[in-house]
Amino acid sequence: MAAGCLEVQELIPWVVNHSASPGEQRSLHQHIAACTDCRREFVRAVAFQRRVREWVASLPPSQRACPDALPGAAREHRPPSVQTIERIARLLEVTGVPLLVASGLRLTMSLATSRPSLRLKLPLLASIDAR
Amino acid sequence: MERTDRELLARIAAGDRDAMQRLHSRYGDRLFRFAVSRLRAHDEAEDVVQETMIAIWRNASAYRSGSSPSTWLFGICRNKVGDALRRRKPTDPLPPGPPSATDPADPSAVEFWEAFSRLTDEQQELILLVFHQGFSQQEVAEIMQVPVGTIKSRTFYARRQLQALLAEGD
Repeated sequence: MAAGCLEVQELIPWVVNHSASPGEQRSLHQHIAACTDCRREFVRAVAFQRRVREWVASLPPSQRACPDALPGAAREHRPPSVQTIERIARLLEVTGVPLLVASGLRLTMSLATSRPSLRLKLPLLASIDAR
Repeated sequence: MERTDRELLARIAAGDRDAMQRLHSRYGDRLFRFAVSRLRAHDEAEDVVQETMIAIWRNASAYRSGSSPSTWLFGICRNKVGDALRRRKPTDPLPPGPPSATDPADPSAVEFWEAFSRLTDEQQELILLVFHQGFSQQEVAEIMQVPVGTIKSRTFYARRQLQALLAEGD
């Protein structure tokens, strides 16, 4: 196989199925105009594609329609991330906010008792300490 | 007015069942021929197309316009075919041969499908996607999730292999 032939032969399927770019088609046709081996390969690929299409087309068609029992639309078609965020928000509403408040208070209390130096900087701690 | 595939997918994402019917009428048979050529069992291929359609209905909102709709649909169908092949019992593999609905009285059809069934799974996919479905290099690379360069060389060898098998039978 001469230099450049492998590259051209790898391109043949897409020239044969008409999806190659105009530039690729042009370079392939320029090459096969001068290269007998690649021209033969191109002709074989055209016949090969015809054969594949014939046999796949000869299979009996699908008998079934679009499925009737498509799952319900409204909920299923919302992006999952939105559903997840909503679930987390509901969960926080019920349990999260009271928990956050309670743990915040607990943290403040423990700071007030364990770090006396902070009392000077944070008036809230000082007032808790005073009580 | 005829809607584009992208418009249909957008409507399907919004829950439009008519758009789903239209997409099926556009792609159902193409997907079926891909599936039946790979599975060689008519009913199983019908099931795979139905599963593909349900997956499209459920996930249309996840479609991103970076790839073409047909690439996205065939990617889903290819995965469903893979699932169907994995569901088969290891003790009950399909012997090499034509799809179940092939006319047994047509020797050249039987010969073609016997040769085709001797290719690897990946070679069969490449032959169908390139030579039957007419996808571009980039599209096949997206469907099969491998680089374009790999697709080019593997398609070259898949065609060579099938041509050699068919020549053996001539």
